[in-house]
Amino acid sequence: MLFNSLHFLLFFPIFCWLYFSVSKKQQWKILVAGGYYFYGNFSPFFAIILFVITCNDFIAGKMIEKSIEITKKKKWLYLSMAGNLGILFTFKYLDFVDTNLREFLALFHIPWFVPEPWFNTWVVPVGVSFLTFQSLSYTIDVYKGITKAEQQFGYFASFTAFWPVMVNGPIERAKNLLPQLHEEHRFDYDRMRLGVFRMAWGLFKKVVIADRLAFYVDDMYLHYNEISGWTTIVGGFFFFMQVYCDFSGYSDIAIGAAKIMGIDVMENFKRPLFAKNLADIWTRWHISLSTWLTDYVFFYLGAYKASSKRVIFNVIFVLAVCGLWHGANWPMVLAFTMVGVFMAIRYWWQANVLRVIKPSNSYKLFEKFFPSWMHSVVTVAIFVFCFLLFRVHTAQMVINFTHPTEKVSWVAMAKAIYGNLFKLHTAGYFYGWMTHQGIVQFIIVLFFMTVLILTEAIIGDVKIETVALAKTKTTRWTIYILLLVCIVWFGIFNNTSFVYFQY
Amino acid sequence: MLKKTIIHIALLVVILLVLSSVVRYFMPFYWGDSTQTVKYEYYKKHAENYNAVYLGGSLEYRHIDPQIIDSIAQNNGLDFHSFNLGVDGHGIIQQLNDLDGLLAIRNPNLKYIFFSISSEAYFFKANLHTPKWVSWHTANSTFNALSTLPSMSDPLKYRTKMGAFWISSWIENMFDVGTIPDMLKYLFDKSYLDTNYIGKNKDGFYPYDYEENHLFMEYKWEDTLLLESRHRFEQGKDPYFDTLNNRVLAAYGNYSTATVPNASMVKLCKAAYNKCKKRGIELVFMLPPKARTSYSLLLPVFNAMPENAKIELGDIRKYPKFYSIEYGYNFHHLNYKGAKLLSQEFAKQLIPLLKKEKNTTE
Repeated sequence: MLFNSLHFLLFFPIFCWLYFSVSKKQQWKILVAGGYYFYGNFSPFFAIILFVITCNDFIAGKMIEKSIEITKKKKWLYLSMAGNLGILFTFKYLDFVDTNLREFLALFHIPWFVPEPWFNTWVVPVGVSFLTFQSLSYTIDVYKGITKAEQQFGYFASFTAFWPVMVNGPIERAKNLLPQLHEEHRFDYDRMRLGVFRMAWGLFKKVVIADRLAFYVDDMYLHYNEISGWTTIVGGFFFFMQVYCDFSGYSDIAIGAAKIMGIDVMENFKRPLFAKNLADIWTRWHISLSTWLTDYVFFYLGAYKASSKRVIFNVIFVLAVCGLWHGANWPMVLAFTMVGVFMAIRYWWQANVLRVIKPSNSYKLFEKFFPSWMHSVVTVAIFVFCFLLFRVHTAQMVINFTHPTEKVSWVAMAKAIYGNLFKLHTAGYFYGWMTHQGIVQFIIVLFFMTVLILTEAIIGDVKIETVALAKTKTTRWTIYILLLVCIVWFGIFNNTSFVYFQY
Repeated sequence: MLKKTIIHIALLVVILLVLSSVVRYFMPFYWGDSTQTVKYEYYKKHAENYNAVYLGGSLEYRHIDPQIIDSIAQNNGLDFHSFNLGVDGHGIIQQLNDLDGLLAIRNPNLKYIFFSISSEAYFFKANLHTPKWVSWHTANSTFNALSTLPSMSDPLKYRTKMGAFWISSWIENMFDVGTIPDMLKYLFDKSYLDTNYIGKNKDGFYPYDYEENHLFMEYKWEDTLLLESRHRFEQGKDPYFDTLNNRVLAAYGNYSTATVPNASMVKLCKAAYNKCKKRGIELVFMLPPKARTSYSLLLPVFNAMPENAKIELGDIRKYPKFYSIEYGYNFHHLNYKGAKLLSQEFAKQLIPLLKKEKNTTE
């Protein structure tokens, strides 16, 4: 079920009515039923996978806590990891590994023993990476003693099937979510107001901005060998904004829905456009994944408490894993690895050069002429530069599907796109790209992006719903009506799924 | 608290409804479809030059050549100047909406409106959420469409789905859901409008033979591009070709005067006929060839219409050429050669009607 569908518009009020009608002891049942209905709606098979993950980690969690010997605890942890990562690998990475092995062995004329890639037609369960990572964090936390094992299967099932966050994050932690699921939640008017406003804001970002930007991003990648540097720069920024609005829009709806249900889930985005550097952007972009990777991978590797070379390796490795999590394809891995390389360069620069030159007058002069907003521009520019690869795999698949005679490789496509950055002297397809949906649509998308950026600049790190609802009644109602009108009148409602659903 | 929440939500909905109605008030009924916009805006400017118009879908837009019909009528001493207002995809329900819009356009010379009986109240899923479809889904259109559904012979599940599509499009129409950018485009940037669709003779006729050399990529039909559907048809490889012909033959063969027509479709058509009659306009019903909707539904409805207000061209036994590969474009459209033939046959049936009408008036 998509958040931007009529189905959800009917589901949510009915769910809330049932959820608030029943007693505290029954609320988990509504949560589980709602979660399985929500997820099973994509495919009943997905609901079975969810159930398998739930059973696996519930048993593992209990056994880890019960076991006294560390080896036994480890054994159960490994079992949980094998279950989660096994599901993830089977559905998401098996085909990727098979294809690469096949291509690698073909270089040496060695036939691969699997005759037919029978698994390459399997449908990847929606949001399987989110599901498995959320569930996996529970067993790891139980193993580390950060959280206690859940003793009641029903509550644990409501944790894994907590539908607002289950398919697209934020990747919630058991220590935050599970205790809240045990509490009684009654209808609260103020929470409802805050939640609804947050959901509306998320929907605005998704259906008004992200889905409109998709026209331009799709067209840019479709005409990748005709476009010039300017189209690539503007289109690259549009893609960054599309992913941001799409993904943060989903997170806003999830956070808002959970708030109405009386549950606080973690923030997933904090104005990434205003990040001062690449390290900062990871504290603002997909926060739940970056903290997950920091807690469970980066710290495991030794984090910053190691030699310079090792830290550089750690940073690049974690970002490569992050890329792999996003998609089982090389352009995605490379996109995030590139971000990692830039972050490593920054680390090296800070550790070896900046420390020396910082006290000097020339550096102070440089800082004076390089205000903080320029740091943000450079940070976003680097991110956009790396993100050009993010979309290559999907675009390649689309082009190869629609134009089967001209098979294009991702390498050729990536080369062409980055090559375009050097064609700044020619307009190329720029005007055609801008106006292919009519000049009105282009003006609309620029207008709403400006509204979003200005709003984020004005409100700072305070939550949008807190700011809006603190206004006077007249201002508040004006904001409500404006937001509603923008969503209804300017939204694109053809059931476009969220970009991150494929991850 | 719950009561307060419901009141606030209701208040927001009412405000939105009022604002949406105000916006829609300033839009013409045809704004959502670029071809329709081009054709109706042209007609509006030159309305008084015409005393007859054709309403319908692609079976009229692509098949009826007003130049041929006008010249035959004029050679018979009749004052007849017609314009083709057919628009791709317009079935009976859209035509009723078109008719209301058409009657609101001032044209004291308008004497004849030709109304096609070529489809049931169908709804392709691909049309959902499109401005072309949402823009004309008024309460009236939705009511008309829904009224035909209970008496259709299709399975209940199919009819329920159609009903849901109609209602959801009506809600989208009421609140202008996602359509404001297209309205703004219509108001401020008309560069997207292609005047070629008025036709080479500026009479609203544009056969598919022209379309394929012009913008055939614009329209997809059953996931098949127009040109591909033509090649397949001409090579005799179209699987629907025999099916359609056999179905038409069976429908005509099995028809008897005792067949009960779909009551709600008859009611709607007769209401339209009477509405025109009150304004002194003759509404003539046409039954075109090659309709995809079963003739076992269309034929009884058509035959229930008033005598002397009917032009019948669908009978495969009488007009086998319309169903042949030589005159066809694809399995349910004619090529230009077929369109010329159809227009001539149309004129043949029209002349006696016009003469009779002239004699009655005199």
